[in-house]
Amino acid sequence: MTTAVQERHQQQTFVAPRVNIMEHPETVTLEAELPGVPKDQVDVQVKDNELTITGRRVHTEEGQLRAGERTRADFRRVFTLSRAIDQEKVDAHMENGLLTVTLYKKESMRPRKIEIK
Amino acid sequence: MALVRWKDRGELAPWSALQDLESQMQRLFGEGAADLNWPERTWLPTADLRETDDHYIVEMDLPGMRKEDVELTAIDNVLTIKGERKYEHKDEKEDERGYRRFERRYGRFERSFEIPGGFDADKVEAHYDNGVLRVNLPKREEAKPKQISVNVN
Repeated sequence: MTTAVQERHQQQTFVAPRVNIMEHPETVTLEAELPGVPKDQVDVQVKDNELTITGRRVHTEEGQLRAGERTRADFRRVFTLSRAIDQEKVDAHMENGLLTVTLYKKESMRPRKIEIK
Repeated sequence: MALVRWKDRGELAPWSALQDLESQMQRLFGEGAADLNWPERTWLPTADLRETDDHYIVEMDLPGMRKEDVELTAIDNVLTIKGERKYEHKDEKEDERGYRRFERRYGRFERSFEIPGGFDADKVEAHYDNGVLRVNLPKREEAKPKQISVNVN
């Protein structure tokens, strides 16, 4: 069946950036390597318990490529967040091709020290 | 058969063979081997080499580095890029940091590129932007393509 308007499926392939994820008592820090991605080409989204990182690479098309190892594809990676994460509060910082995302744990999910009486 | 007393070192101590091996390794590789340190971690960043009429371009992915930690050297036709990505969370208390994923590479790297026809080492320019190192290597005059006009009579 064909309809008048059909969506063309984007066959774009992405590469997964390398990440470090560190958990702290009150926050979770994620570092993602996005070389060649300017700050305005980074997209960080938190929705439905998912964190999606997308980075578009800017390429030089000067001259002829004689040896190419670097990926031409854009970066994307999706992470599932636990319910401990506050989805309303997310910080992102981009510097030298390294994206740092800080996620905050919900107040009720933070470790509390219980005093022994 | 006489009873033999258990000794720390002796033919009957099961680990004596291992201790002998360790001392032999130390003799063979010198004092450095005595610490049994893990070899220093190294990594190889990915790079592209491009060519235009008058220069070569080397681009290397080096996300999350500092400009000061990258070093470029030119010898003859060879460009060498080396550096070190330092692990930056050492100041945090060990028990307050729990790794869930550890994929980034740290440590030293070194890569050399032989440039066909060579380059003018005095005019090499390097920039570090968005985690990519870009090195411009102007070709030597004699390596540039020349237009030769041939008169046909």
